[in-house]
Amino acid sequence: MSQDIREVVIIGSGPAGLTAAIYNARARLNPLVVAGVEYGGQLMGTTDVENFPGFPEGIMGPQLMMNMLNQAKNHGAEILYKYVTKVDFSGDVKKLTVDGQEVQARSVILAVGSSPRLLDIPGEKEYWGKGVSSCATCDGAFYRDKIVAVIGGGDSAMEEANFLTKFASKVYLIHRRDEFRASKAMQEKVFANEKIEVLWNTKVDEVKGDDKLVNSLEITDTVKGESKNLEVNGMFLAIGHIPNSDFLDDQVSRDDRGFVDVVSGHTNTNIPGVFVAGDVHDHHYQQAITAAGMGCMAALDVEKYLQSLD
Amino acid sequence: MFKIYSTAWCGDCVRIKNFLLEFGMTNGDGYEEIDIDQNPEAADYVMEVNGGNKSVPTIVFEDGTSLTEPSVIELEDKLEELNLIKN
Repeated sequence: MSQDIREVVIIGSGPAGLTAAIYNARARLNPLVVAGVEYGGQLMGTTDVENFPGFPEGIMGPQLMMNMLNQAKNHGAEILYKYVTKVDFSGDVKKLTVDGQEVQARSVILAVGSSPRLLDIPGEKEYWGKGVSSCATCDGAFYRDKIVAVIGGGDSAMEEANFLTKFASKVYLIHRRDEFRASKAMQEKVFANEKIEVLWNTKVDEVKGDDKLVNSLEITDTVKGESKNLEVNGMFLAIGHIPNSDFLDDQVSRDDRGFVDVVSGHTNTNIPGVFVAGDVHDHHYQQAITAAGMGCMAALDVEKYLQSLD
Repeated sequence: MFKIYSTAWCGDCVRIKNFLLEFGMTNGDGYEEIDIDQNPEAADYVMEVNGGNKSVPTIVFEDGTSLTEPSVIELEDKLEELNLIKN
């Protein structure tokens, strides 16, 4: 890694970051991608991706991401398998701390994505991957003829519950309120599905198991105030995402949930030269293709910004 | 040649194999890949190496040492230590 000031540093290696890298590499900006150690973004935890255009038979999520990475590298992007821990956007030259070393850049694209929100209850972390999951499409097939619970009340919770009925014998849909915020069409599908039982006004207090696998949840009916044990083999979380933006601190404008704000144009943050793409901004669509599209937009905005400095 | 025990659905396995491409290593040229879903005996072996857990990727080297779900950095360090790649 050279000590010179880079034209552009891209933080993140999901569809947004890697698409930006492909564009900026082809524009001969020699982009540095600080990809992280577990690089590739959320699609690395998926199996078949059937809605990314260009793959009529579908493609495995991890393979799609490695294809994007290799495409970026082939065009000259430099990839660093490290994390950015701190940023300083106060000057014209942006400073990033990467694994203890300072990297300087004229422009930065923030494409660090988001992570599934957790309940933060006992047993959740212990049984992660042993019955607790945030990805029905990844893990659903392991629950053939088993009983599972889905936690949440939005579209993704409805989608996961419906999807899981392909495998599971029964799906509890647990929601802490007495109505869903999901779209009416999604709700109707859930209500029409005989395998799904909705538990309203219910919160999960603890995930229990036999040390190897989940076997039940301790739940409370918040209206009656009654707690009981619910036998399940798996729990799927669908309670939203948290942006991976803590390391940005107050260096860039973020909303009250931590998503990076676009203040002008399509990808411009409040700091000139700092752009944003993908799920760390967009908590609405959250698709690989929309993230990739926004990565392209950010890369083009970087090119225009750098030209304006010359 | 070292062995990579993997499955078709394992994202970490795909990442590791793509990383090894950077050093010109592919299945059959540099390492041997064994899909534990297709090979029950290999699945038993992986569980034995990992104290009962069916964790992939598990990488077993010729000197008998192994790495379970390593990061690419941990794998690179190990390959350097074994002189399989040059720094």
